[in-house]
Amino acid sequence: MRSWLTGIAAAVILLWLALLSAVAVVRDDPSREPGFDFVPTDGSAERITVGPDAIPASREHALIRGNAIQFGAAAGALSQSSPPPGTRPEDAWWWRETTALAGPADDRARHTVHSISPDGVRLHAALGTEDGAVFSPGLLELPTAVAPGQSWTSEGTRTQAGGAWDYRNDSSAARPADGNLADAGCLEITSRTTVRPRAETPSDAIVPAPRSDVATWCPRRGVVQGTPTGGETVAKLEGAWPPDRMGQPRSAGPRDPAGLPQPLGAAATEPVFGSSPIPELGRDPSAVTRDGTLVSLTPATQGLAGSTIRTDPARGAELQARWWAKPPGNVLTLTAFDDIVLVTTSTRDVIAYESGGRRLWRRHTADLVLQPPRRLDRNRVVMTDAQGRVTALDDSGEISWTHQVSAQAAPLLTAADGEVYVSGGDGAVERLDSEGRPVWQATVDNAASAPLLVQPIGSIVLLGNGSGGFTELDRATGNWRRDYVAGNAHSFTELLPGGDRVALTSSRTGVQILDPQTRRVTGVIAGGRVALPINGGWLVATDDDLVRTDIGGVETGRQPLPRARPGDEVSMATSPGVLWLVHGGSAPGVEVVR
Amino acid sequence: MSTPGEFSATKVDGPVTGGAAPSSGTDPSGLQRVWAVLKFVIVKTFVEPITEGRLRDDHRPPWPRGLRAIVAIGVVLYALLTTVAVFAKPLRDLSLMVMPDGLSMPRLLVPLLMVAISFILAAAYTGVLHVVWWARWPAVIAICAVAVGTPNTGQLLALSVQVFGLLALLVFTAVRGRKRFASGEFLVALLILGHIFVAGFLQTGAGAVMGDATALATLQGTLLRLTMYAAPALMLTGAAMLELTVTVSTWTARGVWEGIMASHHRRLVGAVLMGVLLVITWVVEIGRLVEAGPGYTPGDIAGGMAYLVVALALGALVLRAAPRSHRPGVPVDGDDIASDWNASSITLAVALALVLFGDSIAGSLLGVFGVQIPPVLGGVVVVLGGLVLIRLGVARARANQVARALLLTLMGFSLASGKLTLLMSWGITTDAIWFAAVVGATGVLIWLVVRQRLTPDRGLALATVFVVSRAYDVREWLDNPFTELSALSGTSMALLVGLLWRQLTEYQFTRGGSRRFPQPSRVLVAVANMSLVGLAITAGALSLGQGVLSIDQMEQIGSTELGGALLTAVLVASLLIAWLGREGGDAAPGAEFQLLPMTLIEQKGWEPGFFDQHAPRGW
Repeated sequence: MRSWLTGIAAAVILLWLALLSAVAVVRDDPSREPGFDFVPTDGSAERITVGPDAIPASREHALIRGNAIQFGAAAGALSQSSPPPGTRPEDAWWWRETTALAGPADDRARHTVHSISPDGVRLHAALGTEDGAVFSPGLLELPTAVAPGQSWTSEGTRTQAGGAWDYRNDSSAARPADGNLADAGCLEITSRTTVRPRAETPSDAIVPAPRSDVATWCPRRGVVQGTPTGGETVAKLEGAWPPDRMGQPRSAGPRDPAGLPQPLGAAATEPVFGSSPIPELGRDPSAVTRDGTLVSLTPATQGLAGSTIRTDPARGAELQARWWAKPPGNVLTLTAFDDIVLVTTSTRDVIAYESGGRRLWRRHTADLVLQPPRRLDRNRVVMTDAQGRVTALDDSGEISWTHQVSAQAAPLLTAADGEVYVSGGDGAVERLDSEGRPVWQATVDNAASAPLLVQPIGSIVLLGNGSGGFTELDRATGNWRRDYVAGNAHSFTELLPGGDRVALTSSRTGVQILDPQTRRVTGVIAGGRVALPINGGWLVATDDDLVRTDIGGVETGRQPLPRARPGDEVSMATSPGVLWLVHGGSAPGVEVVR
Repeated sequence: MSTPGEFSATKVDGPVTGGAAPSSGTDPSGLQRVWAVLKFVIVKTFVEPITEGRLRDDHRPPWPRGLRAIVAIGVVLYALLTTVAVFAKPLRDLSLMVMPDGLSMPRLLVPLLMVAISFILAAAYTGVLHVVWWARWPAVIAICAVAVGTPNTGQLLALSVQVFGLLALLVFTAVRGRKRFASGEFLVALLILGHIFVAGFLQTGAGAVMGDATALATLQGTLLRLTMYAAPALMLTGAAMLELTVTVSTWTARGVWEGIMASHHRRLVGAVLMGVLLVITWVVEIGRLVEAGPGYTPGDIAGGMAYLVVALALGALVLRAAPRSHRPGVPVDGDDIASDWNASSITLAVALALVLFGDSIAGSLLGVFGVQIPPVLGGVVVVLGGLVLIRLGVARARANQVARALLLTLMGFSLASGKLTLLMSWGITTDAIWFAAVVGATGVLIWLVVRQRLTPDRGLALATVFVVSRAYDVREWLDNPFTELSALSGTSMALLVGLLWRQLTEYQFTRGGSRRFPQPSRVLVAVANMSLVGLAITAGALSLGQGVLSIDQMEQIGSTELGGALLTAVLVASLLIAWLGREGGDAAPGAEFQLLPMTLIEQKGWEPGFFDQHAPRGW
């Protein structure tokens, strides 16, 4: 074959493959599909009031594609719904709406799941107000291409705690009386829902009363006011947010592990998920707020759940989900600062929630924030994006300062005592002051491949290359002091300060305690997965035990954990009076030690 | 360095005038001499390696029809990938696909990566199609494994494409394997392998959060499997900046030496230049000693001294294995090693990758059977690998490939000693080794002067140590002009420069061919390698190093181990020559200063007739 002919043929094949590849990775835009006219956009959120008492709340919307959606209601309710009738499994879109209220702990969460199919928007589950109910097939709330004057009916089974009922819903659409809403293309939907007990429902079950609802749906915004079918009245929240947590102070200084009661002196209890609507506990990340709310992530849906410990005289302590949230995209990091939870997402956002689940603010970042933000001072956090742009945010989400560090891709950030240290993969370390001004820059030859782990201790800054190699810099000037090798030279992933020592955590060899003064490892806790400095010593969790050591790493006590959970994915956190052990991986679960 | 009289073709008699000097027999002016030296350094450092190593059809024999077009597409793809790598950071402002673990890629560029992968697979497949059968079939199976990745069981059509594609490819391999290369084979391979690969993505439920994650996971898996094969090339890329530093230094030392030797005042000029070099070197070193910076504490210096003494002893012992070791002196000098680097570096990089990743590979294999490798095995493998490299060095010395022998030995020593000292909680820094070399070179210089045994040749060897040590200090200056570009890319510019340099110089093996590894196969493997390195660096830059083969790590290992071996070998050879003298007596000036269209890189100890037997075809 002639050379030019070969070239042309190869170029044509490559172009064809490029076209196929583009088809494979192009993002579907569901908004162009039928049925999506009145569905809010993925990741959108708004501030609303809920119920007759107009409780301030935040509401989030997520569009999820999948062939079924799993959810739970109270104990005994269904936990799974198939795609709507007439829809191929791979074509099903789900609209998940979560609402978090500022209110009593037991009344914070609202959660609905709709499907969107060519015939319209169907309600499959509503959790919150009436203990939760599941509709099968989904209740048709809004048909596709609905017009004023049109009416429709849907029937099926409604299941909830205590029994199942046949439901019938009759709805109709009309133009809203409000001219602005009418001009905006909104519709007023009036519906009446009645139920009839099914044979399997106990005769003494409480029969849900028939109800009539009127709600205003607007294009791309969902229900903006009124009462959606089976739901609560909503209205737009005007003005600023009311005080958080019903007047409780939001921030009260850094978490203080030293204030934890002696954890090994009390009995360990393990929570169960019996009353948890959704076992939203997956692999990392998770976070514990100061008021004792465990915020965890479900990998499958990338949704958050806030759970608290409930002590039941009959069943003992158990973990109960109180609220749900769905930030846009994937959750990359999840961190708690007192009673504020910060989430960084694949949509290049930082989103703040209060520990009750209300979304406080959202801040867009230039690139992904892959490393959890760090506390800078009482009211500020600091973070770096993947390109080394360091940003400090205050607790209202306002940017305090930004600084571009010279470090190459995906740097690591450490903050301590109002100082910020950023290290890159090329051995470069930069120190910034609390206002983002560069103090010094240093480059060390001790770097292996990943960015150096940095930890200021006393008058030095300790740099670890993760393979046993350390460099000491002068904390004030950044001048080099010495290089040395310590530990057993296996890779470690964390330098955790505690007193004048540092814990090195390695998945292969456990936890080693390094004394930077003598440059010696003074203690090794074999099998240690995670360490926490506490009361002048360390608490180390292994697969089987909780080990207490002195500051040098010498074991002083050991207590078996309620259940052995082998695996690397474990994190440890404290809230007043409680030690949390959150396991991920193949054996997810939570252990709480009082 | 040639021994006088070995090659009449390159030997010149009388005073050296330099390649550019007029051959009228009159003495060149000072300016002409400087120009000649400059030209010599440029030709030796840049022109010769590129002339010998770039991928081109030199018509000896001419490439088969169609091959040039494939190479042209490969070069365009490589250029495109490199350009994308340079502008990776701004390109991330586009819509990103993100996995939960943080791996992210600009959505718009994922098709480019997929097309590049298809091209690499097709070029590699066509390349191995005509090699000897025992290499062909494992390579074809490995390529198919990369293309399929995780079989697409989600869609019947996609799965059918993959299954029938694989069957067709195996049949095609059986039919075409024994025939000669034809460009249509590449088109068939591209068509089949491209569809097998792309079909793996058609199940991913385009778009939704999890759909992105699935697509990226598939891409990530393929990139990891594929770029694993690029590890040696990436390590060489990481070592390229040091390679350039060493070659510039050694050839500069040689060029200046030749210039001095052609001067009527050679003793005076030589003494002045050596003095200047000595003063500059010691001013820097004393400054660091006073500062007690990294590598200059007493413990560091002791470690550096010990390392250098052992390296010198090991080097001398290995060279004793050379066939003519009974003759006094050292048969290899610094520029021999620099010259041999291009030819030997690929072997070194492959060996290094096997040693460093041997435990990971073994772990993966044994993991299939549920066997866990103890952590200490990684260190043991490295130490044993280092010893094996030293043994290979001895074998190369016996085969009279003394430059390669020294490189292998010192890389093996570096690996084994590095791991052993780390296990003993003792680190040896490069700066300390350099300081030890400077101290050693100065000591030898004083000794030679006192004993009145300082010949120009030994002076050259010592000057090489000083020049290389200073050049090592300033090597990062080369990176500075590219700082702004580096901000755009997020990838080390030293790496990108190294990437370009290696692609221009490492394909000497495509000249000619053999029955087991014909020339078209070599060319196609070279094209696949070129695109693969471009792909690895681009994917790393676009994802900011998340979730793919760590380019930074490869660069670091290449720079430390391969570059370190090159540097240490030059140091050891130079110090040994300064101390023991050159085998066969001092080198005469001019043997390498005469620039020919194609300068031969000679091996020490070639016997008469060796060249006739081993010269490239058509020479």
